[in-house]
Amino acid sequence: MIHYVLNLKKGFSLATMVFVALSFAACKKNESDDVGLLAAVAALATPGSTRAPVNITFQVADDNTTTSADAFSCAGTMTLATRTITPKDLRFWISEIKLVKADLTTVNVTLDQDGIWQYRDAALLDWEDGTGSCNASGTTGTHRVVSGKAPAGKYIGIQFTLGLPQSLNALESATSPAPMNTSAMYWSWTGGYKFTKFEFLDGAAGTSLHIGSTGCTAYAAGSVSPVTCAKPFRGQIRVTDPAGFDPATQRVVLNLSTVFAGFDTSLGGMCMPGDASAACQTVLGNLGYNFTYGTSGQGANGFEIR
Amino acid sequence: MITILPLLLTVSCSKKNIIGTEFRWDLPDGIPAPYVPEENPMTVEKVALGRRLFYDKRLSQDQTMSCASCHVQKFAFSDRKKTPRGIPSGTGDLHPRNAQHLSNAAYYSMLTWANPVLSNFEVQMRVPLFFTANAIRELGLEGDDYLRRLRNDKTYLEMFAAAFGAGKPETIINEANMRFAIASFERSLLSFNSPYDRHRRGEKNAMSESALRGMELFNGDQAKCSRCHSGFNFTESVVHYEGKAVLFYRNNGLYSGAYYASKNGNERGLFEFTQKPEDVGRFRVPSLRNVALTFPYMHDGSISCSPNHSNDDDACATEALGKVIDHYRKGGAAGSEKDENITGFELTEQEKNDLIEFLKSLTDREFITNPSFSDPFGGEI
Repeated sequence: MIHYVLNLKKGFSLATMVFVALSFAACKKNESDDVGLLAAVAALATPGSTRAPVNITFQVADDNTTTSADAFSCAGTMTLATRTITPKDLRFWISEIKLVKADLTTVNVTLDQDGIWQYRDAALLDWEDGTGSCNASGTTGTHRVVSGKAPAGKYIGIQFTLGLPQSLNALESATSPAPMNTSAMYWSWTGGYKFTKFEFLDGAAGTSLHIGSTGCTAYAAGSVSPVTCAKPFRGQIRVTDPAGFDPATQRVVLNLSTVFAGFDTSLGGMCMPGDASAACQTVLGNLGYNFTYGTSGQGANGFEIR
Repeated sequence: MITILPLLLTVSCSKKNIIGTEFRWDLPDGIPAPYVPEENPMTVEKVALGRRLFYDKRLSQDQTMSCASCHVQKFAFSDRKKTPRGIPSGTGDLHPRNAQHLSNAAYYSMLTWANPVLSNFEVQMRVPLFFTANAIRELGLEGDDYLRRLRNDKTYLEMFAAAFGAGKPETIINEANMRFAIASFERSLLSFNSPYDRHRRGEKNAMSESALRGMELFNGDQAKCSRCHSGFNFTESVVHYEGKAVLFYRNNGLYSGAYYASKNGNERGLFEFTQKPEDVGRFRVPSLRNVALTFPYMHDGSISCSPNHSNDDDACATEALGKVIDHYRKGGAAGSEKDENITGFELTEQEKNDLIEFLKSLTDREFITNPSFSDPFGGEI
């Protein structure tokens, strides 16, 4: 609390921010959320660090290794596991984003709160634009560049969670603010969100990859308790390049060619953690998940720096 | 600053601006008011709007079904089907569960047969309205077309404004307000005027001698029905303002473990969510309110009457309830991981008939004919 008081003297805008945060906290029922929010405010207020704007560009790659353009287009096709596929939807959440320094310590990226795509420490990345092959449940806007602030300096990589922290993975009674109100990402039967959604067609065969926390329950020995999920399926991504990672010139690439290695796209089907087929388990493995426990070993897990 | 903040906060949180007219519960003595989420206080206007939305087929993707398609007032808001199908333009698959009645559903501590995260109508409703990820599509809404349909209806413009405050159609006719109104209507569906309730209130001859004998059996140590179908709502899993939310999932011995192992993941009860072996075949105990109207019984609608009784409601209820009693009398199916209360018991035919008469005394005719719960379109839409 003393820390706040010292900072409050620095300016009215920060005082307002803390006040708004506390007012919000006092009326909310979920205490863990409040702790997260206060921590975020405290992080903003940490003295002594020069935080510079940083934009991190995300991109999708397919089998085609010669092009540097984004492989996803609602007006075109992609090649995965040597098959030609037509994408329908690609969206995923990332959160708890950090930049990795040469000594392997990390610094937090504080996300700009844009009221559309970024909320607290989570961002929704969205490739589909609701046109062409993506018109079924699509939206017009796309979001491939995460914007925020981080200490200026030299970095060798990026670390983030593929998915939402549990404090944000809850569909509340009321509709939450954007982007948490993106209904196409609701996983209402689990009470939370799809963390990753990728849907495509191979001829007539459709594949839907939906990954999110499972084993979720609010039931505890005769009574109702807060929701917890036994299998998080929250990807722990850390991708580094010893030569350095400069967000201004390099991109973070989700290599779908790596993710779908060993998967027969011509068969199609639902690929979800709940009761995943053997083929689906291969994909989950490529993304770094332990299918049985829903855990994730920290690593590249399908991502690259290019 | 530190001393001022808490004062400001107290003021900002205690001040409630309720739009519209506060809804007054019409509850008999001894019945607690249902729990209402703080963010969605009950008002007369929301209940009226919710009733219209509940019956409106424009709230399905192909405009062929409404909530009321599977929740029919004359069947205490169940649907008489083993298991229903969703919209015709969906997958056309049968739902894995029997549609439940909604009498006093406001008191459930958790909604649906086995899902352990859907703790109120506001949250649960997203599943029938929007869930399309699985094979089962109920109303199958996608995109914003349904909101445009509502915004083009002058009656809705007036009703949403009355319920949520004046504003532009795009602002007040939104997804959350739609859910809040339907939830308010569902909370208003209270059933406390059955012969059993009238007997409890001291009305002489409200229940027959046979039904009274059946009530003794229901509550007694022989049949032990009330161990799980307990309390004023005939289920142990309730929440209200006078106590903590209680929630149990139990295996009623309907099927063997081998049977469940052969079924799809979404037909194995609580196990679907927790993946714990002991949760296979566990479901939340349903309320027995209006039970003589809500056959077929069980989570999969597997217990009903034979076809020759299908045109006689009373005869069908008698036969189907008799089958349920027989199931518990013999102590469940062989090889089932049944709950400790399912031990089997002796019962004469007279006692069985008395139990059935008691269960029929839970039928609330006023509830199923109450005009304020009925279709406001009069079948016109």
